[in-house]
Amino acid sequence: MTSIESQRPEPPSGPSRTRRRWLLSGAGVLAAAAGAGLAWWRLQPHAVAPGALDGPGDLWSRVFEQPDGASLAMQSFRGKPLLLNFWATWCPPCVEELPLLDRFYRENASKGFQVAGIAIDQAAAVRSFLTRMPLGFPVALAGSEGIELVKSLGNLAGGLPFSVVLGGDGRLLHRKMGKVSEAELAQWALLR
Amino acid sequence: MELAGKGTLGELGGAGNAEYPSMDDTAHEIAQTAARLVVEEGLEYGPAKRRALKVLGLPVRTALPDNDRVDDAVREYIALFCADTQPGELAALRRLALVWMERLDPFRPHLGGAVWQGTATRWSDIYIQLFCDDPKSAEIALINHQVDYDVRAVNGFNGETVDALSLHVRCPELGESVGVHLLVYDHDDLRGALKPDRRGRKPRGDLSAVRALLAEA
Repeated sequence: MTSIESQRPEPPSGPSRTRRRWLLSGAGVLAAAAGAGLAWWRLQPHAVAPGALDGPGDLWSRVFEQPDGASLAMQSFRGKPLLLNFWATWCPPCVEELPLLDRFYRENASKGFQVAGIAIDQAAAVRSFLTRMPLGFPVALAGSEGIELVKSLGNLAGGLPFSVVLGGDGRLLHRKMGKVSEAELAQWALLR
Repeated sequence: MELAGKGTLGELGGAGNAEYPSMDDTAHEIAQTAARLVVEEGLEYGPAKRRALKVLGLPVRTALPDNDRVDDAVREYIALFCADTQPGELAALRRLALVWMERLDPFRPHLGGAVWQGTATRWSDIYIQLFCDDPKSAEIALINHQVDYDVRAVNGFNGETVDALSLHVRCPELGESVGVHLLVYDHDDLRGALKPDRRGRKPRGDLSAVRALLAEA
């Protein structure tokens, strides 16, 4: 009878070993992404909901909680242009663009251009993320309210990341769905 | 009476002629080999048992030990060979599972498989069952966060085919990529899904149950 001792395995030869095959037995991979037409629709900013940027309950009247417990009133950004970025810790392109946004913030803060992030995520996740990647610009937390806000700004599918540029007068100057590039940011810096 | 009889037979078989191993010896050997495949290669019980037949050079139609038996062998194997590393690896995978369960909170996430049962090692994947009102909602959440995933159809615990959304996730604690599989069930499937098995263990646990497991350790 074979004892378990005699079957002692070789020690694992390294992290690359047999990992990572998929272990599920399945009927093959189906199409992961939606069709091209739907993708196009998703990536188009649609009309901004009436009253989203002016009137009672608009973006400017909102007050969000920050990861450290402080509150962040959108009203405090009035008067100067603002780049408002919606993100989540588990959205890879969001995480990729944050250093770019942070650099943009550092370079343009003295020129009166403001940046703020709204994390549509769990507070604990955002807190631990920010200890690993500290950001110079203020970050606020928003759950379902954030998703509703994103949709009211014309991002009807609710995809992240999502950036909007708002003028000092509170008007919408630009919207971007998906990851921003350095060239786009350079153009936005000229918007007022 | 019956149990005593079985025990005697088993003992006789175990001590019997090595040239003619009894069914029980064979099942024991399959269970041990399967356990090694489960622990060292992260295989699920079913595939591990079938692979064990190949490894041992046994005919395909050999009677297989039941999952409880493999489970015992897995726990024995871990206690013997991985007692120093496994608890840490299990905790790391449970923490990673918790992160994803929190992200997917609206879809009633439940942790299943080896990471829930406590037999996971660094080679194990994470299986999270979602009980959604709208079967497409979880997938839409992944798309909206631009998370890469594969979809495939797998057999669910309810006997029906369910979608599995599979992600590669980096586990910083283990320093490697872990497969996280999200199995999309209907909200209705949750009824009865927490009923303990024959050994009184719950087959899956929700967010608070996983948090409790981590707090225990």
